[in-house]
Amino acid sequence: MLHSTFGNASVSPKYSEITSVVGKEPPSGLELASCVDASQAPVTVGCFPFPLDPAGADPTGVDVASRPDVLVRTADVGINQLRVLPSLRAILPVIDASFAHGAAAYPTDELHLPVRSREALAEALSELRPMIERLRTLPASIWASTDPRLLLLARLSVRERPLQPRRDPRVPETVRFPDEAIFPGLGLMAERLADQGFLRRVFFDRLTVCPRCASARLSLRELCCSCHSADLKEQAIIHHLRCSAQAPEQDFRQGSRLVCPHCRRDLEYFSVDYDRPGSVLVCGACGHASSDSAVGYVCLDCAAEGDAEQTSTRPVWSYELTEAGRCQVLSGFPLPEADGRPIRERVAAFLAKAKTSREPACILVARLHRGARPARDWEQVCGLFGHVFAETFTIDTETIASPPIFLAFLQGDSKEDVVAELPRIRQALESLLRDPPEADYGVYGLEDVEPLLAGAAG
Amino acid sequence: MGGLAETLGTSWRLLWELPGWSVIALFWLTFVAELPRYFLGVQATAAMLLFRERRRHGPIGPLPRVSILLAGHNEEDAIEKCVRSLRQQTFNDFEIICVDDGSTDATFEIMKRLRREGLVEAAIRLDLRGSKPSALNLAASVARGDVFVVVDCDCSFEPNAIEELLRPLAEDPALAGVAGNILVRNWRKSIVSSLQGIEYLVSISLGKAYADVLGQVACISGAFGAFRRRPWMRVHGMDTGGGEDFDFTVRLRMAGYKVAFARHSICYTDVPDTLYALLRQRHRWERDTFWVRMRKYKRLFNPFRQGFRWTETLHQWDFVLFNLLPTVVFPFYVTWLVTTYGGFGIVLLGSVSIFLLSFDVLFFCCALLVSGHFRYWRLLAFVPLFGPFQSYLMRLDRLYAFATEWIFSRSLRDNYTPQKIRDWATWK
Repeated sequence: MLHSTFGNASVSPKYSEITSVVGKEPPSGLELASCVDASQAPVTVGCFPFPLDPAGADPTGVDVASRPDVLVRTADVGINQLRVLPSLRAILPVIDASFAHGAAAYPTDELHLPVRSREALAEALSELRPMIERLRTLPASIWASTDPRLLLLARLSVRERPLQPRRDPRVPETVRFPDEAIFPGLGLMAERLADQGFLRRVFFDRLTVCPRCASARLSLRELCCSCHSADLKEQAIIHHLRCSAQAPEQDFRQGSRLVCPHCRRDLEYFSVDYDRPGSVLVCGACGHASSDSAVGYVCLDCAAEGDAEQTSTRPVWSYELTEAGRCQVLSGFPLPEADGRPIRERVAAFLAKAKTSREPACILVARLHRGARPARDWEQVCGLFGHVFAETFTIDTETIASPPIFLAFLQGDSKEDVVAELPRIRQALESLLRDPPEADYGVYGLEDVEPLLAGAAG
Repeated sequence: MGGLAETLGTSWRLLWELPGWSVIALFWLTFVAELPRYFLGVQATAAMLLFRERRRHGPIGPLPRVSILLAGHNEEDAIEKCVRSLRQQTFNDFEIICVDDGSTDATFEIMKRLRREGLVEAAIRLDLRGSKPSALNLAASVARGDVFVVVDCDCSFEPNAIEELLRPLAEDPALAGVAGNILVRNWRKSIVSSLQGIEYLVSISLGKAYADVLGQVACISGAFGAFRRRPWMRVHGMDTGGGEDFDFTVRLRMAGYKVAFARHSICYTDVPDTLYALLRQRHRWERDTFWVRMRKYKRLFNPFRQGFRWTETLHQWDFVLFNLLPTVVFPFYVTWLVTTYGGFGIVLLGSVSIFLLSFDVLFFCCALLVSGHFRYWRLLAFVPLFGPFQSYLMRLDRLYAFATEWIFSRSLRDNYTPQKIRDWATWK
């Protein structure tokens, strides 16, 4: 237990009671202490860099009871370098007192001290007090857990804030979750948790991404509709009222004068001799003129070029903790596994189940062909086809949508029956789509699938 | 009832007993202004069938690049149908240039969408409406074709319409322009539109076919026509004011170019289906015609002017003799008949109408024959109305239009053309 002061400033009466600091003494010149509101329970502060496990043993061996309530970063060190329990890194609030690179350096830190003073720390702790109270209510099993999904839910529960992405032009996606520094693969994890109902998706943005490399760092610009050159120049349209000649300004321009190309008269007075009723984009490369233009992109990462219509879009969500997620955290029970198994495993499971039940079974596979569809249209078609595909079969039929391939595990139907019904199934699938894609359908019996699976496993 | 029958009987006997010169004196207007037209129509059919009717089939010969110019104001209901109809053509090697002439509806948004779909090559928006001639001039200035096809946004086309329109240009390098054949799409909608269905058949399918035989196609309609770029540019495109299509054709002809009529190139358009709308439309057309013929190109009547050409004077005199003169004289003629002969005069007019009905039927059948669109035979039921409709109602309407144009220059106040431009037309 180390008692210290924060700088030389006097301590305000409210935070006068010196409390504990876990770990070794902070570096000289940065004396840190945790402060406590006299009216509240003491707050334990962990100053790092330091190992909570002084012996350098396995961090999971640290006595959870000795965990601090708050971590204070006193030097330019990433939290992942701390050899502590994953739960401490994930859940504990962090106050940045490193003054290393400003607030942007550690975006996951809850607070950044503006000055090195005891008052500043005391104020920060006071601000974090509700969070500290919430983390004290977490069950012990959470602190012992190493499941990043559960720790993520606990982190959000303690902070009572959504998982919010931020814009970051340094990454190809142009948005990222600051918390990803603590939870690698956070995006996928959050999606799985949302599928399981522990997080709720809230729309943040829709990104336009390169169809080749999925980077969102695209440069969009207007292009000539005819030759797709970006060499476009906007020109006024001039209307000579007297003779009805109307053309882009370049046809009228003769040095500093405007001369009608039809009747050769000088155009002198705007709105009397002539009007400028609009403008037109004239291509410097091919001379094509139009008031509208095509929009094209250049990917700044892979240099791919094309029409904007060829780009894909990707939604970006922020995630809020649902009531189910909060209950899961407070219960401390381990999270159920999401069904993120690969298709092959699910096929194998279906095969095993069908063999056990001794009922006829088969798998219907639909494969869509993209053809010349633009990427955006293709995504929509796949999404819509997936919905229609799932709704075509009974509710207990397991389907997989992995565009462009869609599978339906048909329990109780023989391959022959399904083949006979295939035209009707196909008609049902395609009649609901305005512009149905070209698709191949195949029906595979168990005897067809088994060797395939064995081959794949081999 | 008995009195009416007696009067009719008496009139009929009197007509038969009149000496030849008295019949001519009584029906001079019919003999001078109407019968020649009917006979000319029959002759036209004969000429067509005997000398011209060897319709060529198959793909047309090599053509320079073709641009379709589409200018419209508030055409959100029509523009897409028109473009899609054009893209269904058997000849499809053309670019489409769309100009939105200051629309306040979604016309330009539709044009942009069509451009994105690749159906249209260029979509140009004008924030200020400048009238159709200037919009077409703009379209021509950015078009890259050597042949311009001008179409109205509310038109639709038979699948081979563009091919048939371009065929004369491909076959005759001396041709500067070709008029398409325009038929009525909504001819079933009302009696008024049915009567216009007959009128279009007779005046365009038959009338222009005959004019083509004589080299007298005086108007390539702005609704559907094709022009070569060089003559277009040489006569400086469309001019300010109404009747721009007629004006433009006259200027082409005056510059020595040949124009033709492609009767197998069929375009369909909607006509006014109420009498009020029809009269409004015809007021404008007749005023514009009068303005162009009698004011702008009155010099064509002058045989002593430099560059005088009989062919140009001929269609002007055709207008005067068969259109202007009967229109102006007709009310005086009717008044004279009624005041001279009383009720008998009305019976005489009725008799003339019955007499002319047989010609109308013949004329209509000729038009059907020439157009080749026999589904319009159902309009035969309306032919008895067609004569009186044209002779009385439309002639009075025309008289009103000519009078207001002659005396007040009403076409210069026509809001079809924006005020700024009309101001210039006044100062010409």
